[in-house]
Amino acid sequence: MRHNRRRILRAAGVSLSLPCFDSFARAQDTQTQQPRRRMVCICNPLGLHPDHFFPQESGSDYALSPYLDVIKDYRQDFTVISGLAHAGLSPGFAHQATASFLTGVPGAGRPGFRNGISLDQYAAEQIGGLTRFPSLTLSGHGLGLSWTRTGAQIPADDSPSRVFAKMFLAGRPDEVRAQVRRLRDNRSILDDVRHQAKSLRSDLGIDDREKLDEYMSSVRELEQRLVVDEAWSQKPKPVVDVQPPQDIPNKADLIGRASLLFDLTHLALQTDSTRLITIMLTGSTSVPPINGVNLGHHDLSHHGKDPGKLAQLKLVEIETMKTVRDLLAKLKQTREGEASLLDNTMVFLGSNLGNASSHSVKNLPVLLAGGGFRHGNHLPFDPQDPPPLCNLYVSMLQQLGIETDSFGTSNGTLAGMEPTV
Amino acid sequence: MNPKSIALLCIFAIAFSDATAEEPTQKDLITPAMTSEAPAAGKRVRQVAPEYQGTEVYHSLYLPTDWKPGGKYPVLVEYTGNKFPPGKGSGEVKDANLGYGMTGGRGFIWVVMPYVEQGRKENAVQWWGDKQATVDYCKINLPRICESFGGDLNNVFLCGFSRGAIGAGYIGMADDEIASLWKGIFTHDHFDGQREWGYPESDRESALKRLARLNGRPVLICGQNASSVRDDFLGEHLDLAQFTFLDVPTKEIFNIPEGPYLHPHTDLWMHRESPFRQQARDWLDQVLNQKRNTAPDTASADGPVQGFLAAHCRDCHAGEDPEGDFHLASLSSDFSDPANRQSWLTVLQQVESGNMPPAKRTRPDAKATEAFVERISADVAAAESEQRRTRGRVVLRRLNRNEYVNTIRDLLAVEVDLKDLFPDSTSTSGFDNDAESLHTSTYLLENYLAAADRALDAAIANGPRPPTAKVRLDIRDSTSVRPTGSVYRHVDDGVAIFATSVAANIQVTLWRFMSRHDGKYRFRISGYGYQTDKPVSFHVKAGPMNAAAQQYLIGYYEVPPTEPTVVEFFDQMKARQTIRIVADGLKTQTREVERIGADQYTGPGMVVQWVEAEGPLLPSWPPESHQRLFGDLPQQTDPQDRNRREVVSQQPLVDAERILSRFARRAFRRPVTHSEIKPFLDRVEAKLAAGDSFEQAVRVGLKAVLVAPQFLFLHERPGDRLDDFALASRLSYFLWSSMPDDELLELAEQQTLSEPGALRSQVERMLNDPKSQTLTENFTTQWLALRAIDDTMPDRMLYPEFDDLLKESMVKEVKLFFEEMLKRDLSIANFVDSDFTMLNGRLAQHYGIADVEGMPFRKVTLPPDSHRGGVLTMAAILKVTANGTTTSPILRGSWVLDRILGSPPPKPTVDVEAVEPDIRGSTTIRAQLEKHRQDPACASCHIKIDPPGFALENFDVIGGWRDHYRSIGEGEPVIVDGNRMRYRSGPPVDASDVLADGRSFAGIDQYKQLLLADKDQLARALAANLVHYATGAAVTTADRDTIDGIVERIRDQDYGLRSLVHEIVQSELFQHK
Repeated sequence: MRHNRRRILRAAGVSLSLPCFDSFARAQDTQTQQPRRRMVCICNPLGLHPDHFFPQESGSDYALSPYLDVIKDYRQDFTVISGLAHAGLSPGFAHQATASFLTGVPGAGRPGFRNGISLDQYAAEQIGGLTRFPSLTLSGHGLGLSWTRTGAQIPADDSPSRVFAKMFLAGRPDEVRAQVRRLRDNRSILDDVRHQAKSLRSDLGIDDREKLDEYMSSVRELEQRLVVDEAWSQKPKPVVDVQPPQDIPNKADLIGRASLLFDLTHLALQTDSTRLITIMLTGSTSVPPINGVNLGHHDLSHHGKDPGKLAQLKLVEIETMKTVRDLLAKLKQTREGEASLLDNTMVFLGSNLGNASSHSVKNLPVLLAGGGFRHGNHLPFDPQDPPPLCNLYVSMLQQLGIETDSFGTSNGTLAGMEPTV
Repeated sequence: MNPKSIALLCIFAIAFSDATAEEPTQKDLITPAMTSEAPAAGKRVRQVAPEYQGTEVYHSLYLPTDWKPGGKYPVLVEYTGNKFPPGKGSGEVKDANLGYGMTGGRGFIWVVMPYVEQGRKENAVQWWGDKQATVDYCKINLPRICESFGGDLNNVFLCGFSRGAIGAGYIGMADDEIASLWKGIFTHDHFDGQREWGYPESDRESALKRLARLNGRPVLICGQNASSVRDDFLGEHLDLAQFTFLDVPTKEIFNIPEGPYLHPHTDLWMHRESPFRQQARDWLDQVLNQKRNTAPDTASADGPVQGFLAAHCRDCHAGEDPEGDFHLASLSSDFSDPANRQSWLTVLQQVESGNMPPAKRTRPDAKATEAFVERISADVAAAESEQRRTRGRVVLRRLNRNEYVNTIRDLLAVEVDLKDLFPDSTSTSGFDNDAESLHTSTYLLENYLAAADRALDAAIANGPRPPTAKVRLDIRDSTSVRPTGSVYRHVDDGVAIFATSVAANIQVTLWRFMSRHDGKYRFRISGYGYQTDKPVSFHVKAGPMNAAAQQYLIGYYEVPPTEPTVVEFFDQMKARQTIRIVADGLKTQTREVERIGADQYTGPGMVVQWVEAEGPLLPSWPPESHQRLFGDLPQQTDPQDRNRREVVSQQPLVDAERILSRFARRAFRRPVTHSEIKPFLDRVEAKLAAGDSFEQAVRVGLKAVLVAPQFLFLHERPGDRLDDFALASRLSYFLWSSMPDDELLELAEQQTLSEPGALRSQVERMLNDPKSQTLTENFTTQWLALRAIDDTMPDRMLYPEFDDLLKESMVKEVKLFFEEMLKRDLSIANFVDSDFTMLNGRLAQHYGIADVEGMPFRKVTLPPDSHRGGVLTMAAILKVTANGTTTSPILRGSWVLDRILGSPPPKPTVDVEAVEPDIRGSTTIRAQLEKHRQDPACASCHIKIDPPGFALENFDVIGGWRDHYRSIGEGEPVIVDGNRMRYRSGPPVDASDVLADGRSFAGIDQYKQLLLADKDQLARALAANLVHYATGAAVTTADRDTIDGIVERIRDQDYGLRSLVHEIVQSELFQHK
């Protein structure tokens, strides 16, 4: 196990030591040749009540469930999938399972659990160099969904205004100069500490070296990234004709916050600032400002079959589905060559929880829209013996044009979601 | 490059053209020729393995001259060199010599193993042939040979010459299984990894990975230039094995320059007597007599382990579709592999608990089980101690978020908010300072760079002294409150507030005060309780003017009735913030006051007279942080920016060196050498040369120190005791979550810190320092899971009495209780049951304890019928173990087993769905669990898990006492203080149960007494948690004895908590890496 980890570290070093300017240059070339493939992964951390989400019938003739009814205009643009689950998770750690939602690593929450690379970062290793931002890790509040190859969590950005500024607001010339200088200083500093680490290394035992190697490869990768950042920092940022978003301070306003993140998602994709976005929606313990709701969101999710709570939970989740509908609408309306932006963007919506009330981690709600797949169906799998959710991830990776036949606990692509590229 | 040409390279590298040598003489050993006879003492015979019948693949077997049937003999396995004509090497098994020379043909069974050629039809005379087949051949045939001829699998050595010397690693340590066979290894000429040969994985990293599989066992490296193996290659890796290097001048042994027959690259050197041969043989003798750490007994078929597995496990856990996805083949005998150890421990847990074999199968007899358990425990412990010796318990540990922030505070003397740059630690190992789970990523590193910028910006004064402003606000004049009416009444000396509603923004916001600069502010509020004879409580929040949701709590306070009183407090504030006063101690609804009218209202209120704000408070300018870095160096106005001043220097390099050396010494928490500082200085010099100002250049150097590994990691060396500097850091990160102060570093400098007396008085000093609050803060919040206090919000219909003050109070109770115990060295039995607790009025009301009023906490002696005492019955614990709506005996029971008893329950063996809670009042959790417990697959664990959970059933999700469940459906109406509640009284609670050992209890009071029967167990569990927190690594089976020793010593001190901290610091676990 120890040794595998080492190998992985080295492998990560290799894949990232590609000359960055090459990929930078390549980005310009490829833009004209083939459609840009993109992926947006969204997790609703308190689940989506299964009775209101899943349709009864399978195939293309299913009757819309209350939640799917919200996005019925895009019925031919999405597939709803039931029965799927990640392997090796237990109800006792259902909330902690957000960690493995995009990684598929079993045992989330258990002592000694060590996470692996998330779907978006796996893809970013291949296509991240094509855009100003290799990926965006967004969150309604707090932690996000993305993890590095070494199992470190990538801090999520939960301030839409900050992300907007990073992507679109040009600094004053003196700010740009200061930024360039800081990037250069940082590079020299990293170069210095890498040498320090090297001399420290010879004094360390084998386990300690693994820790230091993690540090050293982080230093090396960051040095390379700063080179790219510097190149981008001297290129003009895309211009968008919208007002910068105002952050919503109220943590309980999960709907408002989701809307802002989805608007930002649309802008980021439209301007090709990135092609990979993960979004952790908010699961708050507070009362969301929604008419008819007077109980905390988390409390509602533990409805204990109380009809009153279920009704309020439905109000909350319908609102969430409306924000998803608005995202789909924007992507669908944005043209990109012959196709719509939605045709070139996979939008994956799911949750770590199948049934929040019992903390079940089975039969997860899964919806995949856009991205060029053949859609319009309800694909049911047997919740007692489903294929791993990671199979869907393999389908998605292949659809991004990434050559791989495995990811996490997968054993193939997902039957019914065959890639079309 | 194909293997053949590689071999040629090898030849040319070593051969020299005019070599001549003396032929071995009569007095030298002569290796017996290989025959096809039957094996016998003193004979060397050819053997063909059953799998290779009909091929030319063979090995040779030599039985020693002293061999007798039925005896037990150590074994020497050899791999030969390549075919090498100049040295007369044929590369064939039959022509091997090294092993015979080593043993002289006595005492050892000598086996020369083949390299199986590609195609598996013959032996390879050059390089490895089919590597996997070669490895498998050895793994399969060695046990066979041993079984047939009395070979002792506990005493197998591996040796090799040239190709075989490399093969000792490349083949002999190709995987964990084959590497586990050897007690020791010796090689002659070459070594795996010393140089690359062109075949895959001949590089150093791969070779080191193989070598690591030896896990510290002995290796003798001989050769014409063996010391070059050490100097060029292994010098940095001497921890991987017990290495001995022996330079053997073969040319001298054989007078090679004088005779024509022998090449110096030869496996014949031990055939002639020489001091070198004696040294090699001494090594062999010595290792032979060492006890082997990893007892291969576990692997041997007739041992207690394999026998047990075969009899009781194999039927289900083997083959294509093993039960529970667990296959016996996944267990290896290599206990040096931590993952493998963990798998064995899981097996052990299943067998010890009686879960496995399942009830429907034959029970193993007790003796066999005991032998099985003992053997595995011994193997695990031995492997762990071995690892401990060579590598230490704790892997290189990075400062976690709290430690980093505190260290920056103490290093730079700044208060700067950095937490937003670092994600919450999400440790799954129990404590967020667990070294193994602290990783580094590019994102983290980028944030370290940003944090360093922010910290240095805060520490260095680049402007004039910000003015300290002091304002007194009379809230009658301000816009803070609306005019009389609503919920306010203007009185002669202030404004009376009768109700507060945060949601409707009815709270006193000081619109006319806004902080202008970051810094420390003093606030004074004057007020009193109005129309009441009781104190009135309120809280104060700070935050930006318009963003109510970004506010944070400064604190809860109270004012007495009638008597105007000033409440003073301080807060570290950012610029552009204000404070809000929320009088939430007045329980009335705003609409109630509005209905009556504030002028007519006769209920209690709070009068606020004035609020005074002063800040930022700056004891000196430039601040201490600036002086600490730059001393008295002058500042000048930046020519490009009139508002900015920078430090300047007349002799920049001299000053830079002084500044950086001093800074690095404190940052690295130990002395630094000039060569360590030099790269930083060079960088400063380069920056100066490139035209940067002195301050800019020095800042780059300072920033580099703050992201250097020496700063971010705690460097501890394995083996002996920690040096005094490492000890100083360990101590201060344990008790203060921050860097050592000057006194600790001075003691380390004098090398007196590690003296037991000095250590004891330092621990006392540190515990008495306010900084030790971080121990309470970080340890208790993680040990008792208090960080989860906000994870759930109690259902407002079921628990309308829950409020923020109650939540804050319940957390505070636990911390104060821990502090009280630590301060007075009280027995850890108090964690289970105590006759006191720490209460304020709000919490006392919640617990139904009379005569405790007001905001301040105090130590309260509990009445006999309170059902409280100890942490189990504290509201905070009861809240974090519930979900806000319902309680689950499973979750609470697991929690007690894990945190209090130190025996976390195993995870479910079957994939079960959780019980779906039902609050409609028609069923109870006990009824739902009853089904669960009747399933034999679940029962064996749940008879342990559920009882402590049921014992706590009388406590609801916010820790209130209940005789009946609250229900939103069926049940009797409930009236509280004359108001009809929205919930009903559901089914009665039954908190009785029976422990797994048969002792029964009626409820929590009796259960606590049962827990107290074994104080040692409580002490062990707590000690294990504290050691984990103190050192950054969880305790394992190898630590059991030390933990038991600690517990034994505190038993004599009535299990005092402070004594426990002392004993831990004095223990070997704390003082070794």
